[in-house]
Amino acid sequence: MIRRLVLFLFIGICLAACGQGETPLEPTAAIVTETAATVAETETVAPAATDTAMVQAEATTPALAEAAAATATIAAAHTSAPAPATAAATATAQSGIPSGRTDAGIFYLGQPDAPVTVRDYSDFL
Amino acid sequence: MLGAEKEIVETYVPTGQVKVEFSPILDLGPNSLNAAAAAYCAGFQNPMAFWELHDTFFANQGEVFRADRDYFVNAAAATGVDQAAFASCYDGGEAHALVSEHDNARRRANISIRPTIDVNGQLLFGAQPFAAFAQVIEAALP
Repeated sequence: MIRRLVLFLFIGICLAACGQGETPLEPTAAIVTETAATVAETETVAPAATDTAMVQAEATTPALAEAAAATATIAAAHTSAPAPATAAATATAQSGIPSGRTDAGIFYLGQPDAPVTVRDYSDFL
Repeated sequence: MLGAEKEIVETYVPTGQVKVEFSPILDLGPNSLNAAAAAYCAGFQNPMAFWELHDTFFANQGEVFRADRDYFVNAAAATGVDQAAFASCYDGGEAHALVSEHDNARRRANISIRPTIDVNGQLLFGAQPFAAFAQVIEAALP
């Protein structure tokens, strides 16, 4: 009887010790994930501040002109840079879709002279 | 913005109707910059490698948020680019500088919502279903 009691006590102590060892890991991982998700959600929602399903706006001419000028300046500034200089080449995927970089150094996928250009301004995170 | 973008690419790019471009927004700390720089460095060797990493990073955002240099080196190597050349580019800072300049150009254009999609000058803000983009794209097609 006493041997059984000692055995149960020993098992109980082992289980408690194992449980304590794992406890800190889960909340840490959860916090990191939650933080990333929270930041992403905040960054996405806050600037838009709208409940509408779809928001569109005609780009103003000054804004686009400024963007074009800025990217042109960037391209000029990097023409002598070793890494971007090697990026002038285009590549074609096995599917036959060409890819490359614009004069401003922006990566594109599709026919360079396609009638519609869709530029995605986004963050990989 | 992988979901709708993937559908846009699958629907309109093979037909030659649409060209898709990616311009970085750096909003979420150092790895926003590091991830974009990694994709640029891979793309300098092979532009398709940029798009491979683009898809990989969007599909694994949690990992990328916590990623270190080795993660980016290994991710780039998986696309088939030269690992040593990639590491040299990544460590050299040139790609980081170019990404930052593209981000600065974006800021100067007052584009602050992530994601923002520019369809031939018409801006759509926030994550949208594919149908919303398709409507705008169809209207822009000749």
